[in-house]
Amino acid sequence: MVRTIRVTVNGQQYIEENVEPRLLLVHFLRDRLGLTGAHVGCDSTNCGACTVLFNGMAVKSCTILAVRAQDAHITTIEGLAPEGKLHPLQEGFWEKHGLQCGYCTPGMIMSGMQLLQRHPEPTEELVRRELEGNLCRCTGYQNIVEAILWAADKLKSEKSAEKR
Amino acid sequence: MIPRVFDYFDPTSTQGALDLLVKYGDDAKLLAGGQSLLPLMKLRLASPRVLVDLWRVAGLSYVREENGFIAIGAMTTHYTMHSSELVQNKIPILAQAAQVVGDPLVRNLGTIGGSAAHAAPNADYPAVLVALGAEFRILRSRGVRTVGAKEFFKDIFTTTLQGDEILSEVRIPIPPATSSGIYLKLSRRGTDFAVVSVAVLVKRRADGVCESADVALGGVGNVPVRATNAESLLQGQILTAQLIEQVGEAAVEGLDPPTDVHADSQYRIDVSKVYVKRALRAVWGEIS
Repeated sequence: MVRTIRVTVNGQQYIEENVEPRLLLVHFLRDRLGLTGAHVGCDSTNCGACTVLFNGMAVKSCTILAVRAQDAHITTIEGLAPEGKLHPLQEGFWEKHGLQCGYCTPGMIMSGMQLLQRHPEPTEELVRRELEGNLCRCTGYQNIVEAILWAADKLKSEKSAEKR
Repeated sequence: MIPRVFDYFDPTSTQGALDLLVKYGDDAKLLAGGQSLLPLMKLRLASPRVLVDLWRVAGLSYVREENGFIAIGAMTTHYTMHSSELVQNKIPILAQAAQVVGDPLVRNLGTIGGSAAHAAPNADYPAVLVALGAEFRILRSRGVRTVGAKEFFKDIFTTTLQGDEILSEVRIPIPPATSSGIYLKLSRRGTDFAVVSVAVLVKRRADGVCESADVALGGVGNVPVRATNAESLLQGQILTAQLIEQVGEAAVEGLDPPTDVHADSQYRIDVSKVYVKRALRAVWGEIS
């Protein structure tokens, strides 16, 4: 019962044939499209290492069927910034050492994207709450939180700079 | 892991979905947000041969006020619910519950209908919907039926929904402005299911007397437990420290909660009592 899926990922349109209904979006992205930034971390819908933006919403791509991607707009970590220029969130993770092994990082950043879209000036508490769907085994979260707060500041000053 | 092979349909109408449920009978399962069903399928604890996905069916996601009720479409996501001003203002206890289901990512996809139909014993909505006196609107090929919350949740993971029916809407009578409700949930980590949870809704008269109280406990049985003894104690009373103690005791009378990896039965009893008391102090403080 296969389907052909037409989807836009990181601004590029893809048409993939022979997609089984049971194919999970994370496997579609990784194995069909070669976008291996979304990671499979837990198999239990807990860790969020597979987080991507799906029609603007951050979702766990391991817990949504690829067939639901029909006509969707998806953003993965690979699509965050034009080549050579990091998105402020990515910069923040660098500045604040928000990663060690890096396995949770794409998921953390994509969740961070939604967080900052919904709450451009978050408190630390809010950042911690909104990251509840993303687990990290290495860092103890402190630097991840600081990276996101750093990015929020950076985005805010970029915005004011634009206005001038 | 990977689910077993299944046939997949995503109809664009409720009639289309109903026809599929009738055609495939016991082989078919509805898919709403997928945040409970897909994890089960990935572990192969559930392997429906046919999935009927409701995501394309128009008109199942809404929050609106109708004749003293808030009507919520079954496919409305937790995120939509807790960020809805209508829910926040008119039924804040439901917004509180919607905000603690799973995590922010799960809340983007998970739905109230899917969650209710899944009827996990430690989920968040069942106790709240019982306390609120919610009604469930159920579609079937031969018409529509409406069922109350207590009747809807029959047993663990079991509702009154038949295999050829679709839950289309949850309707909640708007609590009066003189009422106050709170949902408290104990979980080890933010994203866990409830070890226990408590939904308390109190309607107070102008003279400070409690007109009625709704107290429902989650995670202490196969279905939400209505603490009727506690509710009777509160009726017609003004809250005092002593009464709160008595109500706490009454709320856990006769409870036989499960023992599992997260907590044993006695712990659940002890914490439920604490949470009922905390909830009462909180709602009383709010409307004093």
